[in-house]
Amino acid sequence: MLTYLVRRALTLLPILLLMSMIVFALIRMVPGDTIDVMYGSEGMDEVRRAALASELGLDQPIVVQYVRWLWRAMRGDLGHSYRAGMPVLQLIGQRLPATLLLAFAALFLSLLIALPLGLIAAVKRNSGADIGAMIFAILGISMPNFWSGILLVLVFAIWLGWLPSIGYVSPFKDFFAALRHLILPAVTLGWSLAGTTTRLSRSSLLEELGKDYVRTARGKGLPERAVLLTHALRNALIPTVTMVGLQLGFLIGGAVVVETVFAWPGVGLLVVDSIFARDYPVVQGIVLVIAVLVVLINLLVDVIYTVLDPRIRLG
Amino acid sequence: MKSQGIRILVLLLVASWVIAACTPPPAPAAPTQPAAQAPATAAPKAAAPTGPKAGGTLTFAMKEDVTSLDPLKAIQYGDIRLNILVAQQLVAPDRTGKFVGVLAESWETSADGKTWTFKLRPNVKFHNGQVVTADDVKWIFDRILDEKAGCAMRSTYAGIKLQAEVLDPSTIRFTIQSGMGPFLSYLSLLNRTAIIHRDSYDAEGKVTKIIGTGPFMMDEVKPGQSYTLVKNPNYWKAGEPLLDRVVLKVITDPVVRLNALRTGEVDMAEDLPMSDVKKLLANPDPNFTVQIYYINSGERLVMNHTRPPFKDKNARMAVQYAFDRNQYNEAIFFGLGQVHNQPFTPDNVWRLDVPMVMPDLKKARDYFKASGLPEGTPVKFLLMANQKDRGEVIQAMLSQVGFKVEFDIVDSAAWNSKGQALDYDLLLGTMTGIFDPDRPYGYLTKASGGNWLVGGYDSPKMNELLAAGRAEVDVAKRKQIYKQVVELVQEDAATIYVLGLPWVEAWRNTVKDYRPGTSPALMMMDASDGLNKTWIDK
Repeated sequence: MLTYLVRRALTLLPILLLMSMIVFALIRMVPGDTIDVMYGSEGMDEVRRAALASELGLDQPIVVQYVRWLWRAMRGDLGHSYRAGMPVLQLIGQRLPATLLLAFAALFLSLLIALPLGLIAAVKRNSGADIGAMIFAILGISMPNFWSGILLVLVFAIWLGWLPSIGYVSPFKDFFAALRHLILPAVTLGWSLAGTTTRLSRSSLLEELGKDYVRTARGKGLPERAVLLTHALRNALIPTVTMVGLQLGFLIGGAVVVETVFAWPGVGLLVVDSIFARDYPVVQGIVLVIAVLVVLINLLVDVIYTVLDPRIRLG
Repeated sequence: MKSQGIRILVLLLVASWVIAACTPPPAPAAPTQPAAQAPATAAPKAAAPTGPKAGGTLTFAMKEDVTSLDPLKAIQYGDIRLNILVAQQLVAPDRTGKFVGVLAESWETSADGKTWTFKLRPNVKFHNGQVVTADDVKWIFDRILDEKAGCAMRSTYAGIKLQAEVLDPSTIRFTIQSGMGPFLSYLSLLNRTAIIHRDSYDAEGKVTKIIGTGPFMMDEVKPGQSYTLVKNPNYWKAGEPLLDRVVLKVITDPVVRLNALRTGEVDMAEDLPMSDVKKLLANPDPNFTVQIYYINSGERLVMNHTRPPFKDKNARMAVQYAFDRNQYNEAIFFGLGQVHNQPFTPDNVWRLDVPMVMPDLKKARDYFKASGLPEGTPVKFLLMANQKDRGEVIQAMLSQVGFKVEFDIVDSAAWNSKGQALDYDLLLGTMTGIFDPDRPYGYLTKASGGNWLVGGYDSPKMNELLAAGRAEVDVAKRKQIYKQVVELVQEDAATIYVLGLPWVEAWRNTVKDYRPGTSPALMMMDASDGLNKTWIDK
């Protein structure tokens, strides 16, 4: 397995290089630049534009800009944010803990709901519980996050006053305050994820339950509980794990709507703000970091496959 | 089985109705219609007054993030929101629009308006403890004039050939090329000539912490999240400020700002959703005050003069007569804006007696016909995503005349870029920070960097008028000149000044003695001392 992991890690390098080139070029192809956003709303003379371009290094040819950036990035320096003036890594470091906390909490919550629901829905197919679980799932999938988020804020923060409506507190600073701030955004995100996962785990479990090995297990007199949990569920989890891996990758960079509704200082909002601001170093830096994280998550998913199904060998 | 599913569905529906029915009832009606000029306020009943208390933290929900910490370069709203609390200028306008000294104790000008001598307020200290001297002031002006520094006011000051000279440690003299009526308005323009300490700049010329003279000092910066300021213990106004800390929290969504104000997670917020503001004016919330006020500001409908169809004056006149400001105000601002034909509030000294062109569909159609344009002439309307509703209202108005308005919706960076390239037929511009007519009308000359914001309009007569207005010092004579400017704007359909924006701020009952200032970004500070005497009763 180690060889496999090393090989996968090495294939990451050309992917990152190619991706950094694409991002570098694409963001510069969009009309408008940093100078327009930061200083341009009232128009400016050429002298000022040239001074600002020189200060930000935007007066250099794009190839020179890229090579300089790459050279620094290889030494661990992703440059400075045009807007914030601070190192990109520091800026990402400010946001990443909030993103990871929300992503894992939402995922944990979604699995906590989705796996038992999917299991019950599959076992008691076409029962009231199955229909109830599917309604819950469809509501989760079809309700836009901004709407369910605002609804939760209205009920639990404004009417009942039980939970805060905005912000993030580090769990290392105040664990219980962190938990209180986390609940609403995690439930909002977790609900929509749970919807998809419930449906998927139900359908894959139903598929497994119809297979021969389940009939054999039942035929040799295994208790139904063991058939379900030891045999069928284990196999049914493989597509679910794949889905969870993809969801986690999405959550790290794409929870922008929930971050906006709860003023949650995550990476998603930072990347969108940076794209709007044409803050090139930040966009490039975040995309790089997210890409590394997503690849690592995929690796982890591969490893989990081998745990769930010993027939799968990495190498 | 089916019936069980239906029962669950019915139960869910009933539950949603119950939740909806549990919505807290509105507070008893206390109708407060916004006055035309005075601020409209929806305030809960006042509790028994207690004296000011020092200390505490005020959290303010700001709508835009900071894009630049360097006050000399910064022009965006969020930048000024922050730097106005930390850094100060020589002079600033008070609430009546009169210029008063901030770091300058007094000043005098020569009869020809070419020499301005400022005496600095004694013993004002920067946040690093150093006393502000005339050398520091000169250093700032030299930096602004440095071509490589990229400062916002460079072209303005270079254009009037400004020179700064230190007479003694507390006196500085400026000489300018010609009589400059709006010179004080330039010195006080949105903190772009803030006197900050030179150590604010690092070796690369970047500002990561402003060392100013303001009542608050920068403490913690979390871009996109919050900016924490702490009280300046050596502030030059004794006993001020009262607050220990101010936290500017970036919350870009207006609904989220309002929710945070309702739950008390922020003490103050700006720019709330207009539909909620309208309701809150009718039924005030018992926990906070909502105030709308009007400052010199304006939304403009801009037509591109450099290409068809609006190169043709008849086509522009058709738009001018088809555009109904009142209808637009109702549709977009729930009637809370102030329609106008000049970007000054009705009580402002620069609001001149020029009748507004009123909508007249017949005239609009006549002008359209005279332009010779075919029915359904396409018009490209450059919009930012948050302006789409505005675009739709205008689209409906212009379709009655014969134009077919198509949207080009982009983000703000692309909007700026396309706008500057005059790659549009129509756009909507806004402007604040107006203390003198030279600034808003200055765009109407081709030489201005902001000429693209009036569609590249170019008229020799207008150029003459604007040059005369800029050179003149006598207020009465300047008024006569700018009256002609406004008349010519309408005669040429140069651009359409639509309305004065309703600015909204709201604060919880725990916030005491807050007085908004002269401009949205300046509400908290400057000569208005908005937040200096504010205290928090928690």
